Amino acid sequence: MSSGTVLALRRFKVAVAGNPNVGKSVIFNELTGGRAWVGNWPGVTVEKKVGRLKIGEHIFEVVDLPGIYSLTAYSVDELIARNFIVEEKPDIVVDIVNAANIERNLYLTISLLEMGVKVVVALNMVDLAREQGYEIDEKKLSEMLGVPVIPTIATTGYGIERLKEALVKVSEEKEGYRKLVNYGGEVEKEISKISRRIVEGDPKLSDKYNSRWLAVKLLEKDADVEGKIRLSPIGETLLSYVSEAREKLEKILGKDLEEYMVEQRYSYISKLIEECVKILEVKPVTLTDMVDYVVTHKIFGIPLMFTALYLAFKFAFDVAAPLCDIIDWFFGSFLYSLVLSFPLAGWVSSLLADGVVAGVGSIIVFLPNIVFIFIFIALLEDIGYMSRAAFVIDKIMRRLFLTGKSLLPLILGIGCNIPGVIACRTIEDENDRKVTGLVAPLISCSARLPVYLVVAGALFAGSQAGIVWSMYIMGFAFAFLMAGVFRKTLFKAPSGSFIMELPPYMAPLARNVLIKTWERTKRFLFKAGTVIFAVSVLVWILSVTGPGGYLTPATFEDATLLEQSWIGVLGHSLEKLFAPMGWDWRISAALFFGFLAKEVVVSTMAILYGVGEEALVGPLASTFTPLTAYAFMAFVLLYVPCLATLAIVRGELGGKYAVFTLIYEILLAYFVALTIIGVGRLLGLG
Amino acid sequence: MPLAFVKENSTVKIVEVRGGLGLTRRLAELGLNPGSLARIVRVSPPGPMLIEVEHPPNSGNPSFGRFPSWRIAIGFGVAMKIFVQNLGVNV
Repeated sequence: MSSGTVLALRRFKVAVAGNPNVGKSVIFNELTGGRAWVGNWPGVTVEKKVGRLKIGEHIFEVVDLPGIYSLTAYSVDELIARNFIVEEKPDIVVDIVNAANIERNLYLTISLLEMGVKVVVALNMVDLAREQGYEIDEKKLSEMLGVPVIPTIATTGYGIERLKEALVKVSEEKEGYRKLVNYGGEVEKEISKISRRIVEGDPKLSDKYNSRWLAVKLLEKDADVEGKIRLSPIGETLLSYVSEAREKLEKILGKDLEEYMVEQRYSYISKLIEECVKILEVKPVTLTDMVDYVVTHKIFGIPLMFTALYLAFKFAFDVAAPLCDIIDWFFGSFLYSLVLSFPLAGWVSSLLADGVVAGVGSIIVFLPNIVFIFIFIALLEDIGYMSRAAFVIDKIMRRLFLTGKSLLPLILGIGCNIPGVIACRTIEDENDRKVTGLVAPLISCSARLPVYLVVAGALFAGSQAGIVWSMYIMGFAFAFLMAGVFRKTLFKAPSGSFIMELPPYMAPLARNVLIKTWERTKRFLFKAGTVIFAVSVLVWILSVTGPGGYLTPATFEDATLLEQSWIGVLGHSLEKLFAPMGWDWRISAALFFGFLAKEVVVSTMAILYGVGEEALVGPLASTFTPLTAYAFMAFVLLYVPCLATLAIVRGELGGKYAVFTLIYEILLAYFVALTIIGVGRLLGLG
Repeated sequence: MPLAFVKENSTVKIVEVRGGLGLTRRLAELGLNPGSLARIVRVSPPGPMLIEVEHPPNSGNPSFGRFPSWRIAIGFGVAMKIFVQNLGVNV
């Protein structure tokens, strides 16, 4: 090692694992100080959350895993978690156990210990357990499991220091496999036989994985472990031996072997519970009962869901409005005049004022709206409402051959389509996952919002909220519709199973909500600083130059001159395509650049009309009629996912699907816009 | 009878899961094994049902019903594959 350093730093890989809804991300944030960065999962082009914890000479690289119930994977999400634990071999796994739901959570603990990985158990929500009338003897539990068990209350930070100390202590220990569950005479005999065969036949394999664990998993018909064995030189012989042994055991036991083994684990857990849990008093849980009675109601459930979402949005807009005005004044008046007042060359000050300030400013104006939407989504997630929404919508989704699970990615998509598409990983059924991923970009994200607000503000003064809301409804309606169409044509298969845990309601934690909001807002700001900045500059350049050469920034004052620019040429050539809708060349050009990011539609219009976001009202009111404006909004909603979303669709589903999404969305948008115009004219509108 | 046909507020005992390996495993992870007890909180045929799993299976734990339970949403299709014994309505 390097001799220059006084302290020999020692690095450890730590994974934070646990069932969904156990406070995993809160503990992750506490351990890493809330500073996480995003890396890539090995083998998958998608993101993982990594943070760092330094204690003395110990450096722990902490990875936040998706929630899992056991080490058997059903969804892509769970596969990622399982593969990380099995293949990447973290030095330590912090297993977050929900103390208020200990029996079921211990199943994962047992699965982890059987694998032979070093575990530290964080017994979270001990306060809630006590509230519910029982107490857990963590010393006894620690003794029985043979690993540290640290009671924690993530929401207050209680126990986090002890958890850190336990990490240091365990990092010094040698790994030791602990045989916890005894599967009984005959089964145990077979486990040892198979295990011995692996050790003798393929030492490389048994070096990498615990051989007893492999044997147990083989008897349980774990497809992934069977795949590993098949690649081994002893593969085929061993697998046929295992299947014979399984048959023999099933005859002796008189039942399915896997079912038997799961039962044995549960009866071991019951023993743990009997020894370690003391019941103080019986208290029925009533809050969750009462709230569930209302929100899952047969008739009121769905209207309630839409009302809740609508009120949340209305509130977000009302609160954000004055803040937006301040930002608009800052960019539109203050900064714009400030830049023009500098003694700069004419073209430089035009580039800065007409290009960058007008372009980027027109987007940043909507930051407060977007932040409030993110806050509300995080609140709904943290309270525990999202899974209830999935429950009530399942009835409708069933008709489309989907399940309620597909709703969650769609709701997340309201903030930004990217997390929406990524969230499809939680869907177990492969067809459901792909279909949901294909339609998730139809959901109205916060990047479309500036377009609606500007256009609706110009043409539907007084009824903006309703018009904007109708766009959100339209997004969901088309997502459902297309999902149904795809599921019945391209992905024809029986519908997947809907099984989902509904966590008890919890008071949201401000810190957690803010961290989530910040992570999502950061992405928006990054986009404003990079893509939108670059496109603004590009649009400016294409506006002041043309086939005839440099036109000077006078183009922004003179519409006929602007038409001779490159952007005028581009807009005019696209204009024919949009002629049936009655959109002019500026709008056509804005739509062209909007493919890079939908906010760019607004910033491009702001540059092309030579005005800031606020002043767009005048020019837009004379360009559009209410009918063509509405068709335009629908077109922007549907026409193409932004470039970043398309890249994510490619990463999650594959290139073929990304191309398909691009094409079907353009066709759908064109058709819908044309229909709106046609029907509107028939009705005598516009 | 299939779980799908049980009325609200009844308590049932799981008898058998007639599904594939995947379904059986997933239900087991959520504590729904043959032998475990569940209370039906909400039904909305042909929509999903909301059930409350009441204690770990096969434990013979005398404190049944005292431990906090957990809630699971089960789609209609899945509920048709879970066969239960109806223990009647709790008061």
